[in-house]
Amino acid sequence: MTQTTVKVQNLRHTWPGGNEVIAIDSFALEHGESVFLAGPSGSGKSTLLGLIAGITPVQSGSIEVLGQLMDPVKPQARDRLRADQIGMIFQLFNLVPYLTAVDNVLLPLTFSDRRDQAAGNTAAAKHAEAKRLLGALGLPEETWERASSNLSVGQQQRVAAARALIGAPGLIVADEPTSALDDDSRDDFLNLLSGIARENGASLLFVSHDRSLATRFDRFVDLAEINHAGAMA
Amino acid sequence: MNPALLRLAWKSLLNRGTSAALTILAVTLSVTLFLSVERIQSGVRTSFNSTISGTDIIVGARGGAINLLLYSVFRLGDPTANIGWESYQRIAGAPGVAWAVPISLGDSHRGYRVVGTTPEYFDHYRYGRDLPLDFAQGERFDGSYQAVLGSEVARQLGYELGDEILLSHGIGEISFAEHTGHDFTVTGILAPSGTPVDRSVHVSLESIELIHVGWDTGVAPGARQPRDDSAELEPETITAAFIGVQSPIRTLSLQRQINTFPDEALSAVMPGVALTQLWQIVGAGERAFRVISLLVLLVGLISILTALTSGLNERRREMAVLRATGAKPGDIFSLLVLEATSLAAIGAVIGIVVTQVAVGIVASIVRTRYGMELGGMPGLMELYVLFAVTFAGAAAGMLPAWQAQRNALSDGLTPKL
Repeated sequence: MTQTTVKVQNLRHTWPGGNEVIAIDSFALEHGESVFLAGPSGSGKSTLLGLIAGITPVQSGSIEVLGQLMDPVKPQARDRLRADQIGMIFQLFNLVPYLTAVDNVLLPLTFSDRRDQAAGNTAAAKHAEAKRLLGALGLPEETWERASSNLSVGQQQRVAAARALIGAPGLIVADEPTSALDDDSRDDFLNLLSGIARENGASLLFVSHDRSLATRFDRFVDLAEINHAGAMA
Repeated sequence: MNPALLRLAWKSLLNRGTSAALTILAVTLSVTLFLSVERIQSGVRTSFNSTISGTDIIVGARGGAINLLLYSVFRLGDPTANIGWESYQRIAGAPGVAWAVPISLGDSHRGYRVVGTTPEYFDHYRYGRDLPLDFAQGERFDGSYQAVLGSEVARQLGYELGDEILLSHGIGEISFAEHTGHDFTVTGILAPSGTPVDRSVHVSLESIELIHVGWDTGVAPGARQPRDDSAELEPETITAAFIGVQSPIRTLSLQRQINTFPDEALSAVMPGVALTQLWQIVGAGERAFRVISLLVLLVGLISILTALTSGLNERRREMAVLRATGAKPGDIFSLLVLEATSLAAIGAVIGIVVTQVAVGIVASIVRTRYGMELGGMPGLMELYVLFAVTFAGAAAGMLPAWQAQRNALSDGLTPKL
């Protein structure tokens, strides 16, 4: 039985003192699906991701993640849903600089019992899982215990991907994760990320302005088309 | 609270090693200062309160209790008047009196007070927990022209057994009226007691009488007056007397008897009571010291606040990453409070250890030189300081923690840097 991973309905968002930036009537990400969301800057991309991640409270309409409502009034409930079900990768500066690669990967487990259980619960099992993911993402073993501030940008993005994947969250949100990478490592990174996400049964929401990448995903969505906030103005 | 946050806080502190070390140093120094002041104060207080013990009553001319204590025990200031030898003898012979030791003041040796007394002084003068005066070298005087020096007198002036010293009339450091022709031989040097005894020169009452023969008019007798050892040696007056009673319950009635002595206006004070009164005056300085060291402690704690607050802006990205991986705003708050608490606790522990080591190094010197105890193992005081500083550190961390939490909420996933 498959479940819709993200379900957005009648979503409207206006920042204080500004125009409406989000007006999406309907958007869905199905279980195990990988979607390329094309979003140039100014398209409301950051706002939408903040809403889906539960960092920004929903003002109007609804967002469901794995069947659970992103509660508009209870920030703790949103924090918990994000901790349990969403792995995030940013464009840059993904890591906590004073933690090693492995400790960065383990970080989400400290905030989510569900993912902690899923990753093996015992310290040894969790470390093994973190190293398995780092290995699968092609990070050289000698860098695993290195402070993350000493890693190259490409290595940092792989650590971030491993962190997003650990403990099997249902949704991976990647916000321009490849724009700081050169072409070769970008292809490498994309293949590994989508491959492991598929293995884990996680849905992948990949946001980028670089449409040349879109062919690698199950579906292409143009944010400018579904978000008619700008068009109305 | 999440125990993993403590690990996170530690690693964050280790990462900012220099800044963290400097903050810890500030806390350490302030805790060390505070504890050292406390140790010295309690040492001074104990030493002060134990200046004299074993003596039940001090008798002097009619006057204030503190004044009597000051000149008879602390050898400070001047007696208002003397007491007659006859009165002294009647008190010494009164029922219930176990012992009596007279003292006669008024001369000095290079600024140190000379105490004319009887050899029994060395039996009955006690300090601290009933500690007797010990001789470092030699023995008590047993005749005229012999002197027993307090430890500081011997150390400062470099005297040894057998040295000859001259006494001066009056109590100034520089005297123009030497008791020339009356050389005293040092027969004994006392061990340090931390009491004014260390700064006293002890001679027999007879010696005091001898050197004052011919001084009846108050001026020095003609030069080279031959020593007249056959003069009448019984003093007419003495300055004060220390009295011991046979049973403590006699103390009050004896005190009343002396205070209402019919032939002469006398005062009798209980040393313990007078010491407490005196400390209430002297202790004001002690309270000032404590206020200052508390303020320094406050400065140490403020340095925690400064260190954390100044790092907040460069850590906005880190906080956003933590939020994205599932941290609640409360976790961000806890992280910073834990960092502040750790800085304070580490600083306090090091401060306690440093104080302990320093006390261990100087304790024996202070004991032999000043007869003052700085205390041994860390006790309740250190425990209180550890807890108080740790809690205060946590409190100091709340301001930056609240700020970081607020930043994290407004920044969302993408702080503007």
